[in-house]
Amino acid sequence: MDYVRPQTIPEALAALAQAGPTATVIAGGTDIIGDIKFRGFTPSALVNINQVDGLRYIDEDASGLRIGALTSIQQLVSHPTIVKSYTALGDAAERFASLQVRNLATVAGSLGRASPGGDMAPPLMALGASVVVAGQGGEREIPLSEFFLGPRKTVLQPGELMREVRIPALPPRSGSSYARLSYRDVLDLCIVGVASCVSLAADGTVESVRIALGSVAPRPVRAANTEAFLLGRELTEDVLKEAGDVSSQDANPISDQRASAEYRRLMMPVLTRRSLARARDAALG
Amino acid sequence: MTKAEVRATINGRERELRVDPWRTLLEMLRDDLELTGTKLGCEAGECGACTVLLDGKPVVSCMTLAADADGRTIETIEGISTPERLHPLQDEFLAQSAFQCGYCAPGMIMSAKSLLDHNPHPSEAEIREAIAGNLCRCTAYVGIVKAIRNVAAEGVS
Repeated sequence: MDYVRPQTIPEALAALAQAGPTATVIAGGTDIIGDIKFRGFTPSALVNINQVDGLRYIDEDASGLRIGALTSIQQLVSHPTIVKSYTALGDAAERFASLQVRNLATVAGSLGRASPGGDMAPPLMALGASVVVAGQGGEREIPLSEFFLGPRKTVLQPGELMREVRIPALPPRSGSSYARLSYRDVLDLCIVGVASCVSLAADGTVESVRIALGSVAPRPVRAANTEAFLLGRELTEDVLKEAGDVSSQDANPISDQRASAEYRRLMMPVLTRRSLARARDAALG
Repeated sequence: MTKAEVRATINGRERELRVDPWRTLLEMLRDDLELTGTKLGCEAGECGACTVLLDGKPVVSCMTLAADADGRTIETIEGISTPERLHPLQDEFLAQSAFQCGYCAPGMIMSAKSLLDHNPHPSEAEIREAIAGNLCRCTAYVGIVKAIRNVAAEGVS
């Protein structure tokens, strides 16, 4: 196995191009090391990007939040701007794996892994985020709603490197929340995860809403029916209850070792209501 | 085959090694440096027995590349005491019977040390959160939390 440790993005792209499609990028390593040791993964080369300059930052400006690809999950936890204005992301970060894993795992790595239940995806999708991807031919920006193709599959091409996650600034009277269900509070993949982001009009009705679901489909998905139902409505308890009922149209979960399809279907409305209520309260507060 | 150069400060000492690129930090510590205090548990980053401090932050060393120790500072359980004195956490773990088989203890203590290094007066909730990534099968955590609370109350000298 070859090993290379580029220091800049152009070096990293050149290393990936030279190493070919069977090479792998490694950053936090919390998934890839397990793949190599236990799951028969034999990449032709390890391109260790941990020392690539300029990929660790959380910057806010008028256009929104920009998070460098190598930013660790732990850096998101308790970040004042994220807690206040991009709450769903903070909710997901503080429940992500364990502290020891959060200190290693990166935001981009979690997205690139494309696990159907990965915790970074639903909140970032609900916040309308996109990923900036660098390649030797230039850069492209991919909305997360178009990023995931299926379990462990994204639209990333060989030789491409995620550089940044971008979250657009939210309108006033916006709030977001991520509700997840798991057996343990720590180190447990979620059975169902629901992230929502609502923006309210001056009269308190829903002007725009994004709801993203995790662990109920081969990839994180938007709850299109629930979103359509909520537009223009005030988020009363009755409306939330009805939204929960509509949510069962938005995914067809499977049974796996974590939960049965039936249980997931029962929990989707519960978590949808929970997430929406918190997002609403944040928007109103 | 390419090897990775690792120049790291481990328990205050500069060490230089060449390792296979996929080697984990845990393997390097235990097998190459004979620092066997850090334990191999699940090997999947889920039990915390392999916890060490990397630039002061707790990480699961079984899921860290040895190559990524290059240029960094590592503290293991062997580094927190001297031949003359145990670390206050170790004293208090003994006093509170905070371990039975002892296998989780090094990782548990490193997580606790990191907590107290950053937050000398944690609440009980903060203590429990700080050790949430360290599993203990023997003790039900009661003595562990008490030991950490006592050290926090006394202050770490």
